[in-house]
Amino acid sequence: MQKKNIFIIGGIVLGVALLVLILWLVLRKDLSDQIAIPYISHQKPVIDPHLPHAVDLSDKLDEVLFDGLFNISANPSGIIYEDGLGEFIGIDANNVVSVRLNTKKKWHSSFNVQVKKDDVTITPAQDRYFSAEDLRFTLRRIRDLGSLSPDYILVSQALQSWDFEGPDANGEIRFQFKSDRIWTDADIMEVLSFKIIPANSDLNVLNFYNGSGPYLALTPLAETSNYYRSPAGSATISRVNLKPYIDNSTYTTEFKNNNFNVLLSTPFGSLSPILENPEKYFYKSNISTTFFALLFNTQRLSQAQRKEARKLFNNRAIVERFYKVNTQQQRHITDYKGNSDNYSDYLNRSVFPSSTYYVEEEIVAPPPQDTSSPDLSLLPDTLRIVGCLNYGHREEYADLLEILNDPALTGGRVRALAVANDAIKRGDYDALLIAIDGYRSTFLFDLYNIFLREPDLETYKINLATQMDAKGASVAAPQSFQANNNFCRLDAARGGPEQEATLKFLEYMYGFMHTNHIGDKQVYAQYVDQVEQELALGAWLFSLPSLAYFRTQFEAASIDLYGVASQLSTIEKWRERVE
Amino acid sequence: MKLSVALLAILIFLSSCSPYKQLKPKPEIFSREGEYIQLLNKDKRFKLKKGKKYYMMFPGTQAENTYLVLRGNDLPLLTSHLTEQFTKGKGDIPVNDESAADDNVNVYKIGQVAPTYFWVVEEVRQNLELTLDYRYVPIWRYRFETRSAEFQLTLARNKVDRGNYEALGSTLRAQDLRFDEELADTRRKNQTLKSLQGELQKIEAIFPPEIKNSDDKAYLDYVGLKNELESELRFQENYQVMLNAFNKASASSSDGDAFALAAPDLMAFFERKNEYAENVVQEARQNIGARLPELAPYLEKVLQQKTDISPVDYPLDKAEALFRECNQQPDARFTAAAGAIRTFNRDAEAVANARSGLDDIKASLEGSGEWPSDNFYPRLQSQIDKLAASLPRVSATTYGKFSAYRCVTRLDQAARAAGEEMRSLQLGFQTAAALVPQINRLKAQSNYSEIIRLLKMNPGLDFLTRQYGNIDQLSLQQQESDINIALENQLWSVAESKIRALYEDRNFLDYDAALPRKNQAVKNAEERLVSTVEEESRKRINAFIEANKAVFQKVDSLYANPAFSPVHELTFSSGGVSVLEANKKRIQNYLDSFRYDQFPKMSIENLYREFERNPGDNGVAKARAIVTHGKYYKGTDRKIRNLVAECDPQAAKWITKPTEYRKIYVLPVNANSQASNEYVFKLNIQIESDAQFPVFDVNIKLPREVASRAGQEQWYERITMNGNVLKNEGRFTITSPTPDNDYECQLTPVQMVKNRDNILEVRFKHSAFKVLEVSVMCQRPIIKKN
Repeated sequence: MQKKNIFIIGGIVLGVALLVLILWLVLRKDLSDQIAIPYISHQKPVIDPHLPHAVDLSDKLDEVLFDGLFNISANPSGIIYEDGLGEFIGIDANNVVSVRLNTKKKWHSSFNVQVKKDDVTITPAQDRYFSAEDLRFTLRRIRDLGSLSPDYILVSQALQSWDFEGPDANGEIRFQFKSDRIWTDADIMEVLSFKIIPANSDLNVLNFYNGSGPYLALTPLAETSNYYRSPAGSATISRVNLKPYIDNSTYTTEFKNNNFNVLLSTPFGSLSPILENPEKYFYKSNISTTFFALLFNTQRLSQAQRKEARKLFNNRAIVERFYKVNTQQQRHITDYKGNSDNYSDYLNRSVFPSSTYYVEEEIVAPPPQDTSSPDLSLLPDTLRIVGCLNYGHREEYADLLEILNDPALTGGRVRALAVANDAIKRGDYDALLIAIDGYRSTFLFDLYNIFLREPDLETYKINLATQMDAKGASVAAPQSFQANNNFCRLDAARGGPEQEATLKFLEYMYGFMHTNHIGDKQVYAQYVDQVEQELALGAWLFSLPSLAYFRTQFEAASIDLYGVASQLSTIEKWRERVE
Repeated sequence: MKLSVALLAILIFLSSCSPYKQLKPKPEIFSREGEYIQLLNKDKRFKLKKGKKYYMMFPGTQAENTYLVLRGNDLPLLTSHLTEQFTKGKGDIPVNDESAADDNVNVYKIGQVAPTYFWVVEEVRQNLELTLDYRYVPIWRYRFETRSAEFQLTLARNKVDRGNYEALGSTLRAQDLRFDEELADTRRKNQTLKSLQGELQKIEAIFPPEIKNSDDKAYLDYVGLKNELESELRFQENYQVMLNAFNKASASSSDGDAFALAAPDLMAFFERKNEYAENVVQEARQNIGARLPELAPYLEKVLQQKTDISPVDYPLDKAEALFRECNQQPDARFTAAAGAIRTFNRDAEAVANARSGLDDIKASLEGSGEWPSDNFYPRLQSQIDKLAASLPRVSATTYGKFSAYRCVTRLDQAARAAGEEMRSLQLGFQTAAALVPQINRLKAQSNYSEIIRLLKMNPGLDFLTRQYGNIDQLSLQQQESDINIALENQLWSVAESKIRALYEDRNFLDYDAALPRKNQAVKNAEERLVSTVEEESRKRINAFIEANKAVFQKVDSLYANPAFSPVHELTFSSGGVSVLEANKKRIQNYLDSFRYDQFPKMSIENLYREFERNPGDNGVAKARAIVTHGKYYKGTDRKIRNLVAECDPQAAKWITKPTEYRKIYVLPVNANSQASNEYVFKLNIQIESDAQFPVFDVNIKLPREVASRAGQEQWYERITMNGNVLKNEGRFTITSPTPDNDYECQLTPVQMVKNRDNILEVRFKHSAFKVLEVSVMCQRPIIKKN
């Protein structure tokens, strides 16, 4: 009897184990040979290789889909430039740069893509090769975008004209570079690293999918956020899949659960206690690309009120609360320099975040935060601060709104609310809590993204209007500032004592964004900072650390994150770890 | 024929044009001795016109001492001269006319000098027919003939009347004669005749040899005149002696002293007594003999009045001879006085001789300045013994009644004093004779200090001390010599101790006199010691530098070499501690100039040249040697400091110009070669910029061997800017060196601090242990997207 029972029990156990095995085999999340990255489902990345976007994943995907004549990559010693659609021939004594076009490179449209569930079949279609016309087309687009495109600055500082000679019989084209410096190979290839789109591209579309990069988009045959290794490319891993999520609150759990294997930014930019196992995860940090600010509504708060309102927000106290410093729940951070819990390094005192070149090198020297008590008599009884949790950074927004409501920090004069996007569009706030994503700490810091963005978090639009001045130079038109086309509700047509300063601010901002001379940028940065300090357009709270987690599925050494370049710049070199 | 006529005409014409017309006497002029010959032109006299000029040629003569004599009454109407060279008015040199005051005679001395003489008439005051005689005549003859009568007359007029002489003693008494007048007259005549004798002797001097003993009338006349003159002069000489004797005797008739003093004159007469007539001699004996008793009182008086010890200067022999000539015996009084004088003179001479000998000895002590030989004093001992023996004894018995006379007593005192002095010298010489050999032995040893000590131990021997008057100087010289020898042999301590000993030396015969010289000697020796030490130190350091300027191993130890210290550490100066320290400091400063300037400078230049020529040849060691030298270099040569900086990995290399590649040597900083060596280079970017916030790209071209694996592993260990780490993260970009970009690494954007040092430091590791070269270029950056 006992023996029988033993057999029965053993059979049950074996059966359960078999069942578990079967379930595991069926239900396990197999992320092999793919790069899975989460994104906010209602904030689909917008892929335009020549324009920045508020959804920072957008710009990162440029590297996935597109090539430049030269592509930026990296190795352990730093960045390198690799031949993309061009092969660098050389530069002569007259600064004529010769590039042989890689006209054997196919556009992604040269392939047919078939998707059946998870199976992707790519077959050749009509070959569409890269040509000089594609390059010329791209150059003209960049020229037309002007200061809206960082590539405009990049190219305009180097080329004598927005064109080139050739190609000749060898397929070589020649750019006439300006003669005001020695053009090193690195400089030349940096200038010519702008992404190239086909000449037949429809410029009226929001997204550009036809590129020549390492991955081709499966759109529209599959999810818009899925990409497959281009047969013409050299990527190691077959697929790049973007995984949709409602918000970022579950990112770390989902990552732990292996629902994706690359987390490009953690909530709060902090280390996650649940991802501590180095056998399974590793992380890499780089420079901040997001900062939080309170943008004041200039329609509802006077200049004097904004100045007093600034005093309400002690960003150091806010950050410490934000990261629960000195509590058991403290959110720990680390940076690419090897510092830990260096929260104060992320405090901002200017529209230019502390991580940017302009502050770090003291080009602008914002005054220390005014710690004096605000003149409450000048302020409204309640300062209405709003934030929208639906467009990313839900976790951070929620915590910050709670912190701002704390009378201990803001004296009971603040009412911070989570609101819908419509409230923001209407301008129903005294101040808007907003996360500015994808900012660059280089010379190319983007002011348009802060002050000229359409006040609608659902769309991304820069409301820059330009005109010619009496000398024929391009200047910003006053209509760039209209009360309903920017978060600060600035209106250049509004009379009053702030108008002159507002126009100056517009002039300086455009000057900063449009110039391709570093010296001019430095001076304009000072002017912008000074006028902004005077106008008190916002309270510049802090930047968010940038921390990416990877599963150890990947070979850590194959993933180079460097500087301000996109985290996905070297994606084609990522490879899986070989056990 | 026609030609001859033409030539003659020309000659005549030219002749007529000459301002001087030649007078050609017929018969021709002969230069033969003879009487006067009239100059005629074919028996006619020459016609001379007023205002014209003429000349006439006279042949020379072979005979010496010949006159050409021209005589004529027309001579006063002419201005003429005789010349050896006729220049026709351009400046003849006329022969002197020796004629006396006779205007009608011209006398010219001619001879063998010229074959022809020209008598030139420069002026004819009126027209005349020339009356002129000429004569060639020996000079003696012309002179004697022209003055013979004059000579005869002079002799006749100056002969002494011999009447008184002949009458003296017979018809004429001496006292009746005015000897003084007669003597004066005789002397005057005698002078005149001696002059005449002189004239005759001049003529005789130019006698031609053949004339002597000839029967030439003029010659015979001359001899007769001469003999007569000599006879008269001989008489006058004797006559004067006689007159002088008689005059002295007469003049001292009442003065015995004068008579005694006239004894020599009186004896002069008697010594010629054979020349006089007997009557004269007798008269003299009578007059003089009567007065001989006056001699003795004179002698006594001389002795009595004499106060010195010189011999009495009186011719006693003459006085005694007077007695004999006057046929008298000297009286006893005379004999006693004369004897005393003779004794006195003998003793005085003996004392004088002794004194002279003593003086000679003393002079020999002062001598030549040479130090005495061993036998010097024994010889002097012998001499002084002899002198002492020759010294007379002046006793009362010898001088009798004259012994108390002052001259005698003084002579006695002088003799005694000389004796005492001699005895003192004898004792001194005895000591000196014993000392001198010792001194000479010490001298051979150059032991002057001991000699001085010996001399100072015998303080009484002044004569000996004086002989060694140069002993102090010799002692100084010897010490100086010893110092110099020590210096020449580079025995610095010995030299310095001898200088110190010299400075402290007080062992001198005359210390006060020697002190300035000694001080000067010390000063000179000190200066030489210092300068020699300095010079030898300089030679040593120069040799050291030359030998070691190319050394690149253990460079630090080079600076510990004694060559950088003086060859001798000075410990003494007569000037005291301050001077000593100043000297030491000066030398050390001089050497320090090598240690801290010249040596490192030369070595750095030399090593850098070698280093740059081939960095692969011990380049690291050479560079480190340059850096080590640079540690010591305190000079101000910016070039040197730059060279050191080029080799010093810890020194930032200045980048001052944009867009220019600058070569930099990169060196390992670990001590020795390892599997992985650490390299460092630093840049100080100081590029002028108008920008308030200058920012640059830094482009570094790396050696292939360093950057070839940059794709596999980070080629650098660390890059910092002003101490801040630059990473290829954040907003900063570091491009990787690749074969495609010729291994050029770019750092951008590198922010500079305006007007301050901007130190970029790069550290990397490399397997090779060698000198690497990188090129660095900075320029303003471009705006980059990535």
